[in-house]
Amino acid sequence: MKWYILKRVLWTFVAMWIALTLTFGLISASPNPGQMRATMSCAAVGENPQECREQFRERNNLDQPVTERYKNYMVNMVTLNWGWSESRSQYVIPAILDAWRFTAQYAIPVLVISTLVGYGLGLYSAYKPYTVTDYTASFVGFFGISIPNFWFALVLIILLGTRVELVPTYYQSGIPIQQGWLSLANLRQLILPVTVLLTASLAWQMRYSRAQALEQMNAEFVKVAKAKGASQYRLMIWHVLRMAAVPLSTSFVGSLLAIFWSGSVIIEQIFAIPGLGLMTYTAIVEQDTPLVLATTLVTVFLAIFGNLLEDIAYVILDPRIDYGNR
Amino acid sequence: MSNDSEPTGQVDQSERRRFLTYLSATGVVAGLAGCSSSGESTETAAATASETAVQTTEDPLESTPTPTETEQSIPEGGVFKEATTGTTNGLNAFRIGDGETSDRVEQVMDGGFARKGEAYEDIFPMWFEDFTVSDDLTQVEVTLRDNLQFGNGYGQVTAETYIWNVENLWTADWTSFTYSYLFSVGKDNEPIDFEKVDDLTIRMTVPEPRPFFPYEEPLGGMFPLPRELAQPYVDDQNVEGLVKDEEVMRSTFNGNLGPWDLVRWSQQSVMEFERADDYYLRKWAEEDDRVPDAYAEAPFFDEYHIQYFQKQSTARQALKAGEIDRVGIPSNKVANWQGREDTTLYENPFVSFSSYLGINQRANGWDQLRNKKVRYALSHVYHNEFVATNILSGHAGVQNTLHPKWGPYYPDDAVSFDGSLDEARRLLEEGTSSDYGYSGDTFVGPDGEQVELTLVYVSDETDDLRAAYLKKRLGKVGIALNTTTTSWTSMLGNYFRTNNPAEGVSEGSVGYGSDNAHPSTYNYGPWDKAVSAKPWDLMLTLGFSYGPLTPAGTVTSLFGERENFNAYGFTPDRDLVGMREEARTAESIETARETITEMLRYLSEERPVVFESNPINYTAYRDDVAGLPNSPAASYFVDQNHDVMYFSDGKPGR
Amino acid sequence: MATQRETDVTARTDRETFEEVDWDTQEVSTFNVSRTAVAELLAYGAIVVLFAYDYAVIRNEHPLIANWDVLSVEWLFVATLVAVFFHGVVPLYRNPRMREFYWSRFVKNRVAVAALVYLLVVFVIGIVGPAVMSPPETRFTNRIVPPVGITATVGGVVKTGTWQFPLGTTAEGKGVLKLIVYGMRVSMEVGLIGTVFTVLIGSVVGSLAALATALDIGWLDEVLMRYVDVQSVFPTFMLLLLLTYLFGSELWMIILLFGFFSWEGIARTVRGEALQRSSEAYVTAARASGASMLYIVQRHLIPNSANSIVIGATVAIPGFILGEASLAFLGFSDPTTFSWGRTISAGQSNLATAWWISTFPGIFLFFTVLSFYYVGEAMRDAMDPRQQIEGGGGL
Repeated sequence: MKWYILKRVLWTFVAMWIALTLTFGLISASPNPGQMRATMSCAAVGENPQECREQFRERNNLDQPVTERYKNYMVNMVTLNWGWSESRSQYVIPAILDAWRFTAQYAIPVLVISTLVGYGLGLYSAYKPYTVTDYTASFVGFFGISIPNFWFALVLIILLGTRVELVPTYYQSGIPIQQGWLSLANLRQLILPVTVLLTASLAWQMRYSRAQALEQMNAEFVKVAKAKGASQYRLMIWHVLRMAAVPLSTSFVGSLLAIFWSGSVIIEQIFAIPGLGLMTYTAIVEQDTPLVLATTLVTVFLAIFGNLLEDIAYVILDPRIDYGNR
Repeated sequence: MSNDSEPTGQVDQSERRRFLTYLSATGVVAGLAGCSSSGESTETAAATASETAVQTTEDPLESTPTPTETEQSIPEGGVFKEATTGTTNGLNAFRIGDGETSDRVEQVMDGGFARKGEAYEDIFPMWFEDFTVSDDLTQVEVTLRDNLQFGNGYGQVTAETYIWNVENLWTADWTSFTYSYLFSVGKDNEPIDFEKVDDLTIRMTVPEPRPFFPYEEPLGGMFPLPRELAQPYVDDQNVEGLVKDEEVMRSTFNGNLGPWDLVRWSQQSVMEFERADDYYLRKWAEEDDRVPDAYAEAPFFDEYHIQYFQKQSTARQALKAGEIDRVGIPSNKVANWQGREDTTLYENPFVSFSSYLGINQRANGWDQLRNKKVRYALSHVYHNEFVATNILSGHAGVQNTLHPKWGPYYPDDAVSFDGSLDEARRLLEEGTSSDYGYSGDTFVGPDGEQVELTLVYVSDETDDLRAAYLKKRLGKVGIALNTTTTSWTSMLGNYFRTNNPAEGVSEGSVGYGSDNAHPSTYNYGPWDKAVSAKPWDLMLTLGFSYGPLTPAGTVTSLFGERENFNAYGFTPDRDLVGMREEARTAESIETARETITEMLRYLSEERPVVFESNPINYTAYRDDVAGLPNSPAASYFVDQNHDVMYFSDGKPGR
Repeated sequence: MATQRETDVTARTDRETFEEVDWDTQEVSTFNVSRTAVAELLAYGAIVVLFAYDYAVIRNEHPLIANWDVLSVEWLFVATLVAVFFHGVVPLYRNPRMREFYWSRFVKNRVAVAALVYLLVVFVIGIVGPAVMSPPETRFTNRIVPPVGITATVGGVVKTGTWQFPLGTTAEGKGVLKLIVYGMRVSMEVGLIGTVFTVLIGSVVGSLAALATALDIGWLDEVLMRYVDVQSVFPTFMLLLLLTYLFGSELWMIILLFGFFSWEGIARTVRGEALQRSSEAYVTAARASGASMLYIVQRHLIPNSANSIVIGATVAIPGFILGEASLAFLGFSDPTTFSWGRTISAGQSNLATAWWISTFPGIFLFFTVLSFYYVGEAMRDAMDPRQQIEGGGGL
């Protein structure tokens, strides 16, 4: 088991290295907007673009051999010198540090609520499958997944924001800073974004946990436990939940990241939240290479790390796992 | 790219004092505009055409139906919130490359003066107490006010400050300052001479009389940096360090130089300003007759917020809900905002932007487009009056040359077209070479197949309509149209930039003449040698913004054979550069006018592109915002200046 | 992630009993390979020939078949339909017992039956509608007309809808009803083509990995599945944004990107299932009797994963349809295609005054996605023999 974990940790580092190298390759291969801009300004003021290009390459060490650049790049990455973001007029690391809080403030509640409520509902409907409760839960779940969240968000803004004026129509970033992240005003302006994002992620958690729990319910050991007269409560919590948690945790990081990335870009655009989604979207559209790079790497690292945790949780949770051949 | 599928209206609260020619997307005119303009902002810094800058606009005097009663009657207080979809690089006084950044820097620093009219001396004096033009039109003398103070202990702004900035920053090679070209004039880039007359007076001298020099003089629009702040960077020639310096980037050295101070900037969210306590102009409201009395107390809001929205539609919802006080309204939404009780709609017909249908006359476009009659036919097919009336719902002014009808140089005899399809068919048959012709209703080429053209544009609601209109109309004259939509960046990079060799031309000989000159990447060489990466025939979305007082520079840079922005490959048979120089060195503006009008008339006759229209801008306000100028704006120089606006009850209605 | 596969194997072998061996699925592999395979190949061949003819000879001069000028996406769609026919309809037709068994289990979920009917209607209208209806056209005279019988103030003018445009028109004067009909085809195209690619790549990679393990080429399995790991955690949506931004947002491009970056789930399932079977008695028997590994994979392993693949596919389809709509909302869509996503996104700026533009396609999108989920759920219940189906479905 220790060996297995050690191997997984090592793999994490290898994976990060691969990710870094791949992105280096991508950057080296793609045209450099900075260089284009530099030559453009030269052309605009009537200087020789060729010369400016050389100067730019020299200034940015592009005239060095690839190995040298690769080495510098790796050193910069490891020392967190991730460059300057043109689209935000900020260094990349502070940009991420600024933005992540705005995403986390709605992402964490969504994560917690969708996990607790989603698992609860999922287990409950698995416990009483094919009943009215189950069907209602199914419908609510499918409803949440099926409704296009951007459309839902816009309708909510018009109905609750403009017509009724119950909630703010957009997110004011001054409020958490002046009144605190947990202030009433901040929570109020998070109601809509959280609601919209919850519809989708809650549903996923619920459907997934129901399916997993159903599988486990039929498993031999549950049947044995049932036969042995274990109470229903104990059966659900101890046996089913524990076993269902195993496969659940594996898809957890991946699927949640997917929901957040697609969800947060849309949510943050609509509600004007200056978080990671909006930042990444703008970086892509404005071709802000260092920022695109950084956000990609951060997610990949998060995912790799999440995976590591999952795998470790896995060996601890499931006593039957065989790590002999790993 | 335009990600909001609607044209972005613009607030345009303070038409920039500095009118630089720049590429822009239709609907994002004033640079207040979502990601089209953001894509543009990176480009414009570089792509600013030289010599078309002009100082103009803004007349807080006229713009304010200034409460003539006593100042006490104006209620103070409240937070004025404005929505924008444009992004910015902060308040970097040294790296202003786009209108959005320029607008914002002007909140914290006034600049020299604002123009109130065409006459040289018709100005609203701000930092410059005096602005004097010598009779022989070779000298401009400016005198600074005596109470201009930088903040952070950097001392007073004096003539010396300006001279030091000119010598060490604005004209220095290592800074690659965006507007360094403003500091020289003429074909040979002769430097302007700056001299210090006394502590507060600077004299600028040009070698020969230039009637447009007073409009184009560089100092009025510049924001000098304190010497002590910039000196270390100058010593190291460290431009990266200079533009990334916190003080420079946020203009926190602004002292008493502007009506507002920046308090907080949250990227991609909000920029918050608070009323400056020590605004220098207050003193002059009493002492200088040219400064309205309202400035003794202005601004009246406690805070001014520029809130960023990614989606225009959300910004409008926020205005309805009363959470925003000012937002731009795109032309196709105007009707929804007329006659509302809780909002006021302000109309500004004086927008200096031309939209048109671009025509590729380079080697990778349809070769017949080089024939004038074919371009005439296209002008019939893509009928500008129909577009203005039906697609832009009348919220635009038709133009038949690269100048608005309200501009001072619009030729009375500009060539116009009536949109007749029969005429278009006739012109097509006449204008194309003999191997083209009609086969039934189809216009066929030498290979016997229907002529097919490619239109490229950035998709949004109005441009989709323009494209659909063009396709329909071309279909009626027997030509097929393929439409390609792309992003703004990709349109500039793959279609507008022409740094690729045409078929059969070797990489090294793409440029002009024996010295293989490349005026810019947008005009990398002659039409038959340099072409764009991807072929195209017609182009929408991309238009041009310019200073209406000095259009000669824009005309030349767009359509002069070897000029920066002639990506169209148009080859004029008249010497546009020569005409521009003639106008610029004329004895007076009156003599220059004739030449400029002639240039515009020539364009209208040549139709290097199908001229379309200039937009009318609309801005919606909450009804409790008072102090607006009369709508529609009375002239180009009227400005929606929030410095003199106030909430009628002293606080926002929320 | 890696370990999930092992558990799947161990967990399932643990509880494998006689009554749970899914005899029905075994029969999937018994259909007559030779004749159908030849027919299928012929069908693909015909498509390729027609495509080449259209591309090289006709060159878009006139529509290929009557009024239908086949577009790039539609070629893919036709190929997709052929694939679905040969791998879905034909096996079902040939196995009446299996068909009846699944159907009897499927109909127990009445909502799913309704959903299936709805999807069939959408499918048929989506195929037939555009063939008999002229494409939605920009009309400057009919911009923003409300649905029939509804009066609304649009741009300061009071308008009442008529039967000419039963569901009103958009800001471009296009009939919303027509857009919805055309959007049906686009949605089916997005969902089905993307899914076929997903299934194709996923099952090839999955079975390849399983085969590699069975043949003791452990490193190949390791490489493939490690790549699957990486892809499953990569921010695919961001990659899609980046790629469509750089290379254009034509529909076929978006569909292919969806297909190429979403197959990891299927690959895992197929590999898991295939590995599980490979240790089972009948495979051991086949092996002992001298069958080659390739034969075993082709004959036993892939066909036996069919259930899992079908289940995975039904979840993928609505995901792609919603994904396309999201991209359209962000501005990444092709204005020449009439997808629901594009109509919704174009109408969102008018949502407050002209609600019908976004709302009607929104409702259709919602019900289509919902139906796919219900059908998928019911199919899983029907095809998973471990589940006992009780009672009648429905709300």
